[in-house]
Amino acid sequence: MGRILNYIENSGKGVYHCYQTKKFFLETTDYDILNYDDKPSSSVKASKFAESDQTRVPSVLIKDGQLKRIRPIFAYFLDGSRHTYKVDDISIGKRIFPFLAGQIVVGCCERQDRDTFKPFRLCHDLVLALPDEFDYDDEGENYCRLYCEKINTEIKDLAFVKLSNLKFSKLLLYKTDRIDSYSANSKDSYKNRAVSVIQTQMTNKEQELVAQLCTENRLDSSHYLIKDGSLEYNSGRNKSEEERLKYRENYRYVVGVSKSFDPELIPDFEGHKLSKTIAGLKPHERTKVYRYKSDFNGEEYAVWYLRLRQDDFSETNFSDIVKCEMVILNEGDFIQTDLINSISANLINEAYPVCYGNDTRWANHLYPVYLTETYCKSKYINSEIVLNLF
Amino acid sequence: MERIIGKVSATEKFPSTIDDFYFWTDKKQILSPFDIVKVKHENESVSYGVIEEINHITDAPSHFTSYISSDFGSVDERIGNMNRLGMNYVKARVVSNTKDIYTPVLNGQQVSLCSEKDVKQALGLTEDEVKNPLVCGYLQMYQGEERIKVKVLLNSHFLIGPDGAHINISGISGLAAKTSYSMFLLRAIQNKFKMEGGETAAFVFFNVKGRDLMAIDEPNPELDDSDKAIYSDLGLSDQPFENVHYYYPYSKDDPAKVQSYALASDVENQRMKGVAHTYKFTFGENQDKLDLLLANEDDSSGTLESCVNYIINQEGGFNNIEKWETLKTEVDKCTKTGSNGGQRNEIQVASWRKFKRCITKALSNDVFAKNTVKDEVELCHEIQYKLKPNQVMVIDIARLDENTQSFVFGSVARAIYDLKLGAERDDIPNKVILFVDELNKYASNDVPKNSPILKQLLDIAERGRSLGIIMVSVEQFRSAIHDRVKGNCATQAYGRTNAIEVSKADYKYIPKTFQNMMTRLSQGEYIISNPALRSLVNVKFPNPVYKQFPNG
Repeated sequence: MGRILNYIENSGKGVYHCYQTKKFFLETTDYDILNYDDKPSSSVKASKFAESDQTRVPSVLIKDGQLKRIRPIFAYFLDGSRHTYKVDDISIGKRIFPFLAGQIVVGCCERQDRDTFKPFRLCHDLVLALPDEFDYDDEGENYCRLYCEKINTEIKDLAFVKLSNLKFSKLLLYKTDRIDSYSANSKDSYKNRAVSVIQTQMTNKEQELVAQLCTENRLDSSHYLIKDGSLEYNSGRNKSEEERLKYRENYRYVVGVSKSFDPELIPDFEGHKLSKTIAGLKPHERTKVYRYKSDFNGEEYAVWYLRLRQDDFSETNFSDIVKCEMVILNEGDFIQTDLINSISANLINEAYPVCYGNDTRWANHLYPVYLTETYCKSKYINSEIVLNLF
Repeated sequence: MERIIGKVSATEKFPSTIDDFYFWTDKKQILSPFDIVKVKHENESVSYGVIEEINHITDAPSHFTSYISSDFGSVDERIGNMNRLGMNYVKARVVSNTKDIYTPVLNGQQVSLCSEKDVKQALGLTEDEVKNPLVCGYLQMYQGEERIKVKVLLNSHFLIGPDGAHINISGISGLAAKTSYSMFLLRAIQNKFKMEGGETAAFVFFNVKGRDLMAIDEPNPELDDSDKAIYSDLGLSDQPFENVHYYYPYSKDDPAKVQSYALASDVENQRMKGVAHTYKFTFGENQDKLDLLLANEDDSSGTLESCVNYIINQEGGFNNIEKWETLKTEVDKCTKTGSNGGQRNEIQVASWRKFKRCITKALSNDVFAKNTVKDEVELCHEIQYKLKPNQVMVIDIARLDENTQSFVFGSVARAIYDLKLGAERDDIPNKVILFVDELNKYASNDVPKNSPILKQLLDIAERGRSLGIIMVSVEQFRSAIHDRVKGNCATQAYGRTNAIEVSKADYKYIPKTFQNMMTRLSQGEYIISNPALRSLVNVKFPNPVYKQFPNG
């Protein structure tokens, strides 16, 4: 048994028992809560347009002229990812829960010109995910913070901890009172909840980073940010109206670009499935921009789909299509069609060069996003080092 | 602090070793092979590396990725909003460490450019380190404002003895400027001996092309101010050679009575100044050098050698001969059979006939004369008795036929050897520096093994250092030269050459990039190897200080 498990068992004085089960790295793909970046589809019959041009056509072509004469508007690229580790099973009272650890990397890169692409900001966090039963006296935030500090004190003298300046930044507690509704396997439900709190912590970090960029006035109409993945965060559910307003304001110059998406998330303006329109998009064509209200956080989004390249070379009909999202600042607002076209043209341009050979998702991967992702992944601490702390 | 340009990268496939390391740098950082960089190392020491290879790499795993990235084969200049991520990685060979620590440099260490002082320290060129300094050119590195120029000083003891001797210079005709570089070095040597006193040196040059060396004591009117500034920076005189004497082969028919490409008026001017002499070879002074006349003849059975020995030993009718004509008559007698009134001796008539054929052809040149009159001289006599310290003898052989050239060269080389071995006079120069152009004529792999000139050259190459005979040899293709001759040259200078030549075994030890560079060197640029240098060095030198004859 390593330092942390030992400490938890000894300091708990019989409250906790660690079983020293096998420690392992959870493959992200196997344990993703969601298959798509999207949340489950809403129940709207026919979608409404969220762009100023209300022409009732299924798709809009981004013309070559638009592609060639534009100045790049994207200057920042953000990506977040996390690794999760099952470090033990812990018994509290009569129940046994999985004990997870997470490594979160959220990075942002800045592009100054065609050749200057530099890391702008990086956030690297180690977190612990334990059942809420762990806080047996219901002391809340304070208990978690103090316990996390104690663990850091316990491990601080380890040589490799000193060398890499390792520190746990947060102890997260996952709920144990009811079974998650979308967990296929109830056996893994606690584990999924633990992963989910780590995921939420990651998205919080992403939002903090965007907020920082806004505070520093980095984002404006000629310095947009591309966020890899959806802008629809789970965590908005419990936010106050003021916080939600702040969130919307921060995301004014942010475009969320998802490579994997549910094509049937929203119906088209006639109430038909949009997937058919998406599949039928010609190269450099986009769908109309639809209004989508999230059931999860209550925010309104402008959503459209864009084919980045010639489809002759794609593996499937959807593999060179991206889902684009922007936050609608005030409910019912429209986004100017010129801006949408300009963003779409920029996204098509961002698709070159390609990461063919390095990433199987090359067809709908944007190169600067790919670089940001690669940069973030390069910042992970070796999993063996993390597991050996326990 | 000099600019930091990258960091050391040690990977599984390309680790840092005692000998070399890799570092990454910005793709727009301009560097060249032979540039020197420095890296901080253990115990606050600094390791210096000389750049050998520069590679540009992107994150594209295949050319197909590049093709797709160009919008599936579009040749437009700009596609997309950014260029593919790329960087240069550079291989550098470790040349030195300030505290003699040669464990591999560590991953992640910063790599920076060098100052002039650093470069000198890296290559061992600091004034403190180079004893008996002799300028052999200058090196330039980096671009733009960071460009630095460093004087390359070599310890003359490793160049012209006693610790190392002989210089070999190779490169293709014209583009390499071999003669110019040889003269640059020789002028620097003359300058050094004159300025420093102490040891003395004399110089013997052979002029083998046009009038190349026939005005080395006249200034070069085309030497511009920038060249003069370089000479001044290098601490060298921009004046031509001093104390030069020219030796022209005798000719019966030429108006100036010389066989030379030099203009009659120029020869006359030199005569008036007392620096031009006409040389001849009389039988009396040269009978022991008969073997040199036959140096280029294939004599695997030794028949010619036995004839030569027979004559040198004055056997049969060959005693008391004083003239070449008498020699021919006597040889003629030996070619007749007894029944035809010939003289019988132990050498077969057929051998004598072969000897006659060879010798008649060789002796047909006017330099083989009856006697010397007025100002005419015997070359061997001049060397033996008149070669003084700081004197330069230029012997013109450009217009002579190949056999006679070999004879002249062979007899001069032998005379120098004899001078250093046993001449009895007080003012024998401590060093005699022999400049041999077209070395391939005398010491190529194709020269017969028993060639007396080759033997002479091997003697000089192998024993010359201790005797004070230093050879500065020049040839087009180093690979064609006899191993023992080039192997004994401490200093090698490689000028522009061709790809076929660098593929030969002689160049195997030179890194591939440097080999390729040899095929692109510009005129006046050399790659130098010397035991006192820690690495091969790419040097430049200014235009010659003496009068040039670009059209021969």
